[in-house]
Amino acid sequence: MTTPLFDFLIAIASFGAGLLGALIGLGGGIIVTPLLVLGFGIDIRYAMGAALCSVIATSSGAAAAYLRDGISNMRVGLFLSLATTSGAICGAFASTLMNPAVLAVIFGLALLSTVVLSLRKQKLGTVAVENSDPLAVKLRLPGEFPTPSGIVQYGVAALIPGTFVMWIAGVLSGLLGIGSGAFKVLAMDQIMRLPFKVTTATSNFMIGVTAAASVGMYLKKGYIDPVLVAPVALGVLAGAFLGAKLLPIVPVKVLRVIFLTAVLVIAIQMILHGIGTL
Amino acid sequence: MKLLESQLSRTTIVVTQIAALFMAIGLAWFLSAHVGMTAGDHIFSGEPSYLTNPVAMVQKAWTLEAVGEKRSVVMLGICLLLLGPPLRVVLCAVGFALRGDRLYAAISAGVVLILMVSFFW
Repeated sequence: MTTPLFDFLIAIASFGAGLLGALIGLGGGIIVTPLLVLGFGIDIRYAMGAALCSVIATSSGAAAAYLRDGISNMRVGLFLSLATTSGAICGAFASTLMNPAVLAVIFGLALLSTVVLSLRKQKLGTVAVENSDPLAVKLRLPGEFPTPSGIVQYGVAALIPGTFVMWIAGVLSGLLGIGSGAFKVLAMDQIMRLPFKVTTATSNFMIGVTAAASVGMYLKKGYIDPVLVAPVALGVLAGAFLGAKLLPIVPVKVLRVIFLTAVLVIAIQMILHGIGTL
Repeated sequence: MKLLESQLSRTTIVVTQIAALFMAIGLAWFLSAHVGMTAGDHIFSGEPSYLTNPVAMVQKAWTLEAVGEKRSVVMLGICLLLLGPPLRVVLCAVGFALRGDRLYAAISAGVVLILMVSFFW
């Protein structure tokens, strides 16, 4: 395929990935990489580099909105960023040593677990400020956020296990060029028991920071091809923007089931692709 | 904190928009010079040094002869985009320091340090 058409198609596909990601609550990055690898035959390393840049773009776009609302907990975000960024450096370094076929298999497995994580969303409820993890209290992590019925205060549970899962999320982010939002939400929502709104807003702030830690390594290893990054990042950004606008209008529940099934198929395809090229 | 957050939000939006503009212009310029050429990202070959080193990249973006410099304009946009999150953390560090919150100024500075290690190591 020749240059302008190829880039145009990539932009369209990325737009679709961004739209889908926003509608079903997965990041655009984890959908766009398999699309580029399986659909366009692009080397997984270039795909990861482009996806990671698109993750930063969407996170910046969304973080702007969340920060304005004052829901995100900056102290939690910054403290956990220590774990995710150091994890990301380890992951990015590991990815430069790994066979791309192995990367594809790990990518497929991570995609599978992302689907599973986003399917089982049980509500655990938050902990009261006085029942917080003592270490979290010492770090002044418990916070408050505005709701229609007034200011709600919340505590923070299990800080150390949460931080550890965050480190893993960082490793995955660096290893696979994804935002690993699903794992970040797992740590904050299910383990540290933060309110869901605070979790999503804070994780969005962190996704960009984590991705920035990996991208330096990707840049040096030549994973960032500007001619691929531009259509992917612009496409995903536009798609995510439209998705956020459509979110209140479309029947999200039905869409989620349909699309998550599609993502499941993509995940298996990705694993097979990896095994096939081993 | 409220003021800091709204400033962060505004900075983020402007930086992202400028970055997107650079990427779009650079890409259009590059593509207009490469109509009909085979697209090649199927085989991994890394990137030339002027696209992996931020300083060389910025220098190259302003020279207007070689083929590579069109990609450097896109790269400049990408770098602006990548600058967004570290910039936000730096602003956080400053914000916490101004409010006399030493613990969180230090934690923010720690994150900035890790980010610098990842970019310049």
